[in-house]
Amino acid sequence: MDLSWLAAVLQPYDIAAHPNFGREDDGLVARPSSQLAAHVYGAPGWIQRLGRKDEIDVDSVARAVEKLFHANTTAEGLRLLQAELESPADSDPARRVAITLLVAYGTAEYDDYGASIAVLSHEIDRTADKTAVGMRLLRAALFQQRAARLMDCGQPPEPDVEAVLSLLTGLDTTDCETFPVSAAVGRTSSQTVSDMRQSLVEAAHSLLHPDAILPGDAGDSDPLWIRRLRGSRPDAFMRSRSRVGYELGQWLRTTFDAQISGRPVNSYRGDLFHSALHLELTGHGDSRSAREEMALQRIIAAQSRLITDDDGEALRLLRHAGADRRLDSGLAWFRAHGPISALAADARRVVARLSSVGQARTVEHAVLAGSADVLTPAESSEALDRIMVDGSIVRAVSLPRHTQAPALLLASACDAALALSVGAARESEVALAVLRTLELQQPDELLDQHLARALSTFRWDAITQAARLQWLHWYGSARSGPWSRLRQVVEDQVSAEPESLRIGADQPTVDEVARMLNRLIHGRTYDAKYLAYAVEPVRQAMAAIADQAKKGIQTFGGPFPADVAAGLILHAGFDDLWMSLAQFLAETIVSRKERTPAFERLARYMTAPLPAEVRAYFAQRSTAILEAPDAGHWGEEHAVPYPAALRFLASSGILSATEAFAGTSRLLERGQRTEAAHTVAELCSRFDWAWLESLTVILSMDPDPATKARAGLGLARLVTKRSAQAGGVLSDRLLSLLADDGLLVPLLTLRGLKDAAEIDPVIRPAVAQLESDHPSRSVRTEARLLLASPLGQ
Amino acid sequence: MARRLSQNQFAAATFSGSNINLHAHPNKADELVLFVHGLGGSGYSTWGRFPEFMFDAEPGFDVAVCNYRSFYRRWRVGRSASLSRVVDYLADALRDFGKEYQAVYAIGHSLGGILLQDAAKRHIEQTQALHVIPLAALVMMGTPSAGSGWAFRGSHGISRDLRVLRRLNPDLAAIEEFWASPRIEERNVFHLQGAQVFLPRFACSAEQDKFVSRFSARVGIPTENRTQLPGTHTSVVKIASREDEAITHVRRVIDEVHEARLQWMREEKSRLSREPRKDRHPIRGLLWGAEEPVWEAAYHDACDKFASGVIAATTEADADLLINLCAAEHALSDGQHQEAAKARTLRAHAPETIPAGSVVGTSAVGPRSPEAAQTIRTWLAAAAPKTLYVEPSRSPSELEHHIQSWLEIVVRRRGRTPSIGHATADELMLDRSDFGGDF
Repeated sequence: MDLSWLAAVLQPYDIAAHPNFGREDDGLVARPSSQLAAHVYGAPGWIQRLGRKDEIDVDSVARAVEKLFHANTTAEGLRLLQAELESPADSDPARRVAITLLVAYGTAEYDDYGASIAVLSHEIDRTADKTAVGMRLLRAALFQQRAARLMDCGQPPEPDVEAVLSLLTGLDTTDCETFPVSAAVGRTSSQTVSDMRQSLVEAAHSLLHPDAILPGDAGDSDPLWIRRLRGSRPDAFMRSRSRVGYELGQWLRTTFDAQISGRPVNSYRGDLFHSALHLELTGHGDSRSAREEMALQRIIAAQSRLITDDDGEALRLLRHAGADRRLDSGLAWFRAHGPISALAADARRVVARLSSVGQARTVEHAVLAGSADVLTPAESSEALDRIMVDGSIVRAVSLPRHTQAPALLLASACDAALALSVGAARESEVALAVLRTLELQQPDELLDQHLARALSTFRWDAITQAARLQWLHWYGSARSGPWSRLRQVVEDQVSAEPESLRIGADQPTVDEVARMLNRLIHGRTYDAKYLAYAVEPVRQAMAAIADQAKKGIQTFGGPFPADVAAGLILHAGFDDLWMSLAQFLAETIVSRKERTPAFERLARYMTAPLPAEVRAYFAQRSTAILEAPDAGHWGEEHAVPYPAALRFLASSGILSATEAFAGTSRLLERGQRTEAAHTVAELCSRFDWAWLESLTVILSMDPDPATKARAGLGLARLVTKRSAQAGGVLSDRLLSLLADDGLLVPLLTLRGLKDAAEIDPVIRPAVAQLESDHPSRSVRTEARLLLASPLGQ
Repeated sequence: MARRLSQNQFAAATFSGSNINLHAHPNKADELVLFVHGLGGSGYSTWGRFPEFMFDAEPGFDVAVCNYRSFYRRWRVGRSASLSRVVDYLADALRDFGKEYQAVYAIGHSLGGILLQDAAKRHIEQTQALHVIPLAALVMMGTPSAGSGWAFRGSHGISRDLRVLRRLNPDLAAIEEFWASPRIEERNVFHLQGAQVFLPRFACSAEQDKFVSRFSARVGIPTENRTQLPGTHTSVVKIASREDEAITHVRRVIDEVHEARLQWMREEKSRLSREPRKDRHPIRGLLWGAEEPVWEAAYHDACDKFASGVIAATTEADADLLINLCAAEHALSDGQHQEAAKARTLRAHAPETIPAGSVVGTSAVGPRSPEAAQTIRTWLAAAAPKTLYVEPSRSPSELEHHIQSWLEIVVRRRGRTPSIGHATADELMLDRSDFGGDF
């Protein structure tokens, strides 16, 4: 048995030919295990030593691994390694184990945990000899790898970890067969074997609960985390960690060059792949955080344009890391920036690999929900079949070492099912599955909140009457008691007569007024008397907030009474609320969070001129409103001038064109580009000021998609005011924005075009192309609706 | 070759001299449905009105109907093509249709499904195609992919065509092995890994099929692509009504595959249209004469550390930087080694070797490199009177240092690109002296 094969994957630095030890390490260059080690270690100088292929017979395993580690040939490399395992059984067991570890790693990368665990189990069965030192080490490496993969797919690793510790406890490695090591490490192969043993013990400990107290440690009752804190770490682990530091340093320099020096940088250096690979092959628990770091690095590289296409690799890594929050941010980032193909690639990987129901974790659900827009109907349908069984939703599998509330495991599955239902055209089936699942659950406030939020944006109009009736039936039977938020949503969306919104002994809450107002806004039946009855409570709520603010007490959460008051004025015509609202909005002692939604609503939807006394009131206080810093405790909105107020004051004509320009320019000066773009977008729908055009065009070239999208909205609104001939530059920019990758920019730009009297003939073909060619269903639908609307005819 | 019939309305025709009749709309449809009948069947009679309904569908397909003689139909003629010949011309037809149509959906009944899979295998192997190919999907209806009990041992005495349908026969195994290979993505999920072809396979078994077991009709097909339809082995494809379940199923399969392919194309288009990276021109480097790995490693280390990024030039004609290494011992020797080093160095520095504006750096390497560098300069004195970059490197780190300097020169030369229209903002920023010094 040649244990150098195991060293090639667990301790590659020790046996790869070192570039600085030309003559001393010459003998290693031709050794197959050293060749493999060079690729696993992966530093350029080490691989270069293998570069002279005309003189050296490069081993088939090394060749396969070279392919495995290259993004475009991973699948081929994996196939070659699998073929190596199928070769005659008399090959060296250490070689087989090294290949098995690589295959297990490769298949897990493709989410094929079943295959990964199967290949490990098969090899564990083959290495039945438990007495020889080398064999015990090999078995320990296999058990440890299987433990790590079990943990990856949400199964308990403890039995395998115990097997590892049992195999390695008291293992004397001094009598193992020797093998040549690099002159760079300055020690013997026996020490390398001893280090491998230590590495496996360290990896085993990393998968156990930190509070575990291991049996058999005489007199040591400290929990594992204290022992690990105090103990020394194996050489290979420390080398891997120090390499991470080196690579991150390189990365920092590249990023500095790209962003600060302005030097042309073509590719990023400081790739963490090989340092993470060590953790993967050892089966170390830290491999999850290493995956997360690699993913974050890739996304930042993409943002700095150091790499162009990610192909969903960053999302996969975040998913495999179980980094649920950063995965959400990553999904949002890819939706905004593109490439959309990255979203689709990882979602398809999930669909393709979820071979049976109930394998998905919350991270898989998040990817499916976040990418549902770019899946085909068949793919959406197939994904749904993995989330639903017997007409109800199957909860997610827990993430390893994560404490996840059972309600959230179910909520993530419901989110994914609801998102996929649109593409699969199975809205009714999913609505009923959610209902059936709900009926099987004990009331849970967390699930109630989550489902209420998810179902409030669900396409209720797409479900059948039968499904609607079943929900109504549930609503009727659950009229009182738990699921209060969900009942409200069902009442708002499905019920014709909202029973909880009736004039009674108690005053309506702001929340209830908002619900009735929503019915009016969305064209459902509403009670005008109820709204009239609600005016006074809303006025009182505003007054109470202002009084509290004067005492230094700020409120949290919505709905916001000022926004509801603005809604009552604009949508229901209760003009007598104007003065109360104006007084509230001018109270700079009240946090901006309370006032911003009202300012935004007024800026966007106000069509009639302000009443004279209200206008005079605002005009007198405009400077104070704009210049006062946020009074909120957290100061989330720190921009000055106050952006939402600027939009309202400019839209209502209280500020002149020059004042509005000065205010927007100051926002830009303070780096508030998205707020500036938002402001110009609002003003573009009302005015045709010359400066708007210049500023909108400039902001439409911003690298940040949020800013660009807002500017696109403004640009579209501006173009709709011009004749086709006059809008040359604007039309060109608009065409470019419509062709932007990502969802945000084309979506908002299309929405801006809705305000047009007709679609510019120059723009129309681009909209038609979006309707047929854009990878996102939302963008295609938006384009279709625009073309089908009267202005598109 | 298929016989082309331009038709407004579908009408069956004789197969005069051809094995395939292509029924094309006058304005030619974008997509084609190909029908291949089974053992003992014939071009039109096997399918009833199936081809006609697909031709008339909305949007209409062009329809190709294949005809070949097998089983008892072969008895009636003295000579007829063997099944392997049928596979040949089906593979040719798939190739030809692929040039004309955006998508070809192939439907095979019973033995026809096996022939189709074999032809598709051959087609893919011949074209070395990747990802999306015009052959869009295979739909097998009552196809015994694991053989049929009716084709028992010795039955080939009745007809040699039955051999293909025998259980556990090597031909079927070879076909199945190909479809099971990771090279094919046969599910209707566009999850491609590396060099793969997207070609979903679907199987329909007939509820009352006495010739082909349910197992054999579905084996190897992804679970989600299997369906059971009412009818017998023959009635399942002999369609009389537009509302027939088989029609509905095939239309749904086509719609799903069409949508998957369309989405792939959308994503490809979107990917290709992504704004090209600006201001990111890597330097293309080329290394000559590295006889010891240690010098080659130094070259790669220097490239790796250089912020602008260095990629390998394919030839000297597209190199921005050519590094020519001469082992000091060779440069200072007398004879063959020195001649070779000299010839290579002269060639490296010849004006026609690399493009104008590129940089050539020669380094003598080894302990005696300072003397060797002097010698090299004398070689080049006559040949390259202008800028000469010849430096001695006693150690890899010295070589690394020289290479980095030369890389810097490449970048600075780019910064002085005379036409502002071509130079990028980043490049211009590299050399502010072009703007008259600091400002």
